[in-house]
Amino acid sequence: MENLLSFWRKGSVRSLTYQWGLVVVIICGMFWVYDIATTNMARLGLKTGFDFLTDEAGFPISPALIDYSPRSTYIEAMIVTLLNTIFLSLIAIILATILGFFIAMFKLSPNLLLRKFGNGYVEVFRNIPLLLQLFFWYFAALKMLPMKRSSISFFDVAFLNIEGFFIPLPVLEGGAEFVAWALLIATLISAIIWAWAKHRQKNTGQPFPSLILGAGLIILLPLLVAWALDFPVTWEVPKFGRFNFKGGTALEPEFTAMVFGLTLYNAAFVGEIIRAGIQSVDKGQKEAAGSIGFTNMQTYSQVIVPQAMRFIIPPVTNQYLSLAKSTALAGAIGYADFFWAMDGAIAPQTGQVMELQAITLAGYLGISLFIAMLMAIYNHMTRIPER
Amino acid sequence: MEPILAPFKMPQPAPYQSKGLLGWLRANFFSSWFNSLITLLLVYIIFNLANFLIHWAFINAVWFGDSAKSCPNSNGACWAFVTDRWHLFVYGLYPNELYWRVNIVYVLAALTIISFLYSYGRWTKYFRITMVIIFPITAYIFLVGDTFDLKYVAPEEFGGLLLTLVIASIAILGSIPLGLILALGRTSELKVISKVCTYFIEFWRGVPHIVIIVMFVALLPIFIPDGAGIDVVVRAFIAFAAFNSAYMAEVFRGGLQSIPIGQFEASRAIGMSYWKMMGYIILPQAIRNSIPALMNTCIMIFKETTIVMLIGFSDLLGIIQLSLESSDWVGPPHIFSSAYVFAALIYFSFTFGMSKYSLRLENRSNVDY
Amino acid sequence: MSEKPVILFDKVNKWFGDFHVLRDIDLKVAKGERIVICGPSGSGKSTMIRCINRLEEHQQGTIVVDGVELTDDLKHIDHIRSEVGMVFQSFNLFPHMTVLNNLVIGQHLVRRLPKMEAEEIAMTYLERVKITDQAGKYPGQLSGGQQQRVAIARSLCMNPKIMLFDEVTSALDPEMVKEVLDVMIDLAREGMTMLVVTHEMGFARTVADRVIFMDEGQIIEENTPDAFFDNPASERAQIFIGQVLHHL
Repeated sequence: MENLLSFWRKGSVRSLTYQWGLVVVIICGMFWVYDIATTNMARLGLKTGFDFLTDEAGFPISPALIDYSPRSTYIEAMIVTLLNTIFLSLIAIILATILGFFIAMFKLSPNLLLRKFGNGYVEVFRNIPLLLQLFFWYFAALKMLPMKRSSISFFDVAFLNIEGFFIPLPVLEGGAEFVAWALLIATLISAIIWAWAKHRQKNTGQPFPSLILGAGLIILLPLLVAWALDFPVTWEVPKFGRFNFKGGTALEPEFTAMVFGLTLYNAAFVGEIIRAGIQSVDKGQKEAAGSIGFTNMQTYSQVIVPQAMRFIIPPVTNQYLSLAKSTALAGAIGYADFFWAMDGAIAPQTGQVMELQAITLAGYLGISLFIAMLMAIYNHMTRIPER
Repeated sequence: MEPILAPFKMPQPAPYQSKGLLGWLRANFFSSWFNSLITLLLVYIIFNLANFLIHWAFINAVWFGDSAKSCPNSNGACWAFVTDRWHLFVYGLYPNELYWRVNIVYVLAALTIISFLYSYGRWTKYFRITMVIIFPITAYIFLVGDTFDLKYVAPEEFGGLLLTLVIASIAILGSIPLGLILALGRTSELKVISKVCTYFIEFWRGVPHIVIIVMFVALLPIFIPDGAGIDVVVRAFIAFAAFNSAYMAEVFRGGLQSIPIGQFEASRAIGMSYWKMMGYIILPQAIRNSIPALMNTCIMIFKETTIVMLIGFSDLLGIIQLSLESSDWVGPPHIFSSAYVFAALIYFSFTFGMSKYSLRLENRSNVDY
Repeated sequence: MSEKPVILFDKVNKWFGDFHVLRDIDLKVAKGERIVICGPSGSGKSTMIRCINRLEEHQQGTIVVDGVELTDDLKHIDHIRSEVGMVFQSFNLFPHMTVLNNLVIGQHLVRRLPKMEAEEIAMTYLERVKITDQAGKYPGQLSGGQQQRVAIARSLCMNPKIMLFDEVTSALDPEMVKEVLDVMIDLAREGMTMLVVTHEMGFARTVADRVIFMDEGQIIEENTPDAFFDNPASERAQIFIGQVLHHL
């Protein structure tokens, strides 16, 4: 008995017992749940198996970035909507970051009104639920646009109305490849100039305005070539026929509402994160940079921003993740995203909830893990060695 | 060398331009020509915006009416929609004659909030603890009924603000203890427990919340012996508490990690066991440090209650949307925007209030040590 | 003064809001002079030297540095700053760059020197502060004393005419104070114009030409170091010396 007690008192024995105990409990739990699930499912008469995936979908999806018709399979429906989700997330992430950057600049500005405006923006858009904002854009704001015949026109090439934003589509004619080549060559030359300028600065210390030169080249050279060839790239401008626009393409109000809602909502969070990150950099860094004669521009680009990124990247990645997950709300306003397809379209038709749930979980988990992995890599690459 | 001495000078008041109103104006609004330009532009914008808002929200607004026809003009807010249907928004589908029960619960809720907002001297602590204990129990009794001669009201008939508040409260109260346990598990030294908790937490955080709720609502009947018997709304409650516990776990983990390791070492050095150390030394400090992030998560939970709309529940936003599409009120988009502005104001007052309270808590606990 | 002073303060006044932090400061510093500024905390010593490289702005009076008056609409403030080197109490090295890069970046971007040349200059200064073996390390990997010596080298790389030291040893552990003071003494011996805010009286006695005592925003007393520390004339200086000596 003595020996047994002292054996138990050993810390390692206890901790091993707890841990193995937990493993045993989990495994037993899984079997038990599996047992219940199968009995229940048999009782309710639910089918199982993944054969349904190759059945015909039978419902339309719009927008569709790849070919899709109601005769396509369920798998294709899933892929199309998954692409829609990813595409929407990417656009919203980019726009939210740009807008968030401006909001952060507002909040850091010496102008009190601008600061208050930035604060107000963040408070308003952070505190109102995202779904409410989406509803506002879709059911209220966008529905106040005029009918097709009286669209708001942008220089007569783009038209905004209640059924969408009709924009021109580029049409490539005969000499279009040359313009494309010109663009490519201009980019290449800009890259070479940039590399050469960096090298030259390293060796002589003289700076060179390679950025402006490069930008100018990329814009002007293709334009020049196009002019010389009599503009082989034209735009197919939407023209209003009897009832509808012909030509061009349209951004649907569902998509527009999602982009507006997601961008404005997340920009508030991103702006806060950027501002907090910049303010987390030690004040002394700015003073030290100033004391060796850095201009404001140099101080920010060489000293402050690199250090601020360390504070910004982890929370902003979290925010991007949250944005990607929140696209699941798109079904509420009629945008065909992944969750809508799985839960709103396929599930009612096939009733195979288990398999569909599993695929849905896998899809979103995949996106999350991918983003988390990217962040881990970035974190590892930019770590500052310490003692 | 002879010392060079200077007579002592008393402080002088600062010159006019660098302090006071003029100095403040110069620094904040007109420090450079670009700055001045922006100031003028913003003043113009703000003035026009204020003008528009006052006209829309007050001067041209329609305050009373019973259908969409009451609000033909789009230049004024349609508050008639709100005044006509407000009881739906506040009580949901709760039976009319039993509103008094909900009112009692609302009053008790207000009392609980007030108990935490102000200090009442010696009795404050007792007041707060009493309210925290009485309120959930009384709320359950009065809302659901089925005891003490009170008629039973199924949770399915909750709606509007009532449902929003109930979901938020249950989610918060349910996820906090779960989250604490998960956080302790994740930071445990026992590798298996730590890994299991980590995977568990990361799973809930990696999936959209609406997917989880749908999962619970659809699959609970399959996985629990008598699952189909559980009310759909209750399944949503469980789902909310479940996935929010992952976020609470991260909040508490942050709090735990902010405790200097010296506290752990000192406790062990005295001879405290793991649970004594946690209970008396670590957790009190960790929870206090977690409060800002905790409040943030509570705000997030409150805003998220809106997603139950996607499975057909009538929370505040849901019931507003339903009313907007009802035959009486369906109409031009400006009615929609008036309703949404009203909803936004309600949500904003709750979340803004919570964040201000959180700031106050933060400032107060900073003073302590 | 036979030649023009390299730093001139003429009736300089500064307020932080309502607080009168610098009161009627008159100061002339000649080229090659070494000045130690001491006084109780809050006396405005740091504020005064920070006005010299315009990290702080004065509201009244005139400040002239190396012939250039510091005013509100100063166009070439960056250029002025590169002529005046400053070493901070909290080192303020750039943590995301190596030690060598900390020294090179200013020369490369502000003085527009080629990287190779900048690196050579950097290595000579690292040698002077006796820290060449740490060139490839990051500031986070160095001790406090090492970091401060690197900070001094970083300022010296810009070839300044004036060096400002703001309580540079106050944040160091006692055993590291000597290594930093040794570097400063070497610098003084080579004829650099230095303004040093410090409590290190031993340093003052060794190196300073003048000691300036400040209290409540004004210069109370000026004297040679020995005369000042042995025989402070003003009452405030006597109280101050008494307090500082008490802790030695």
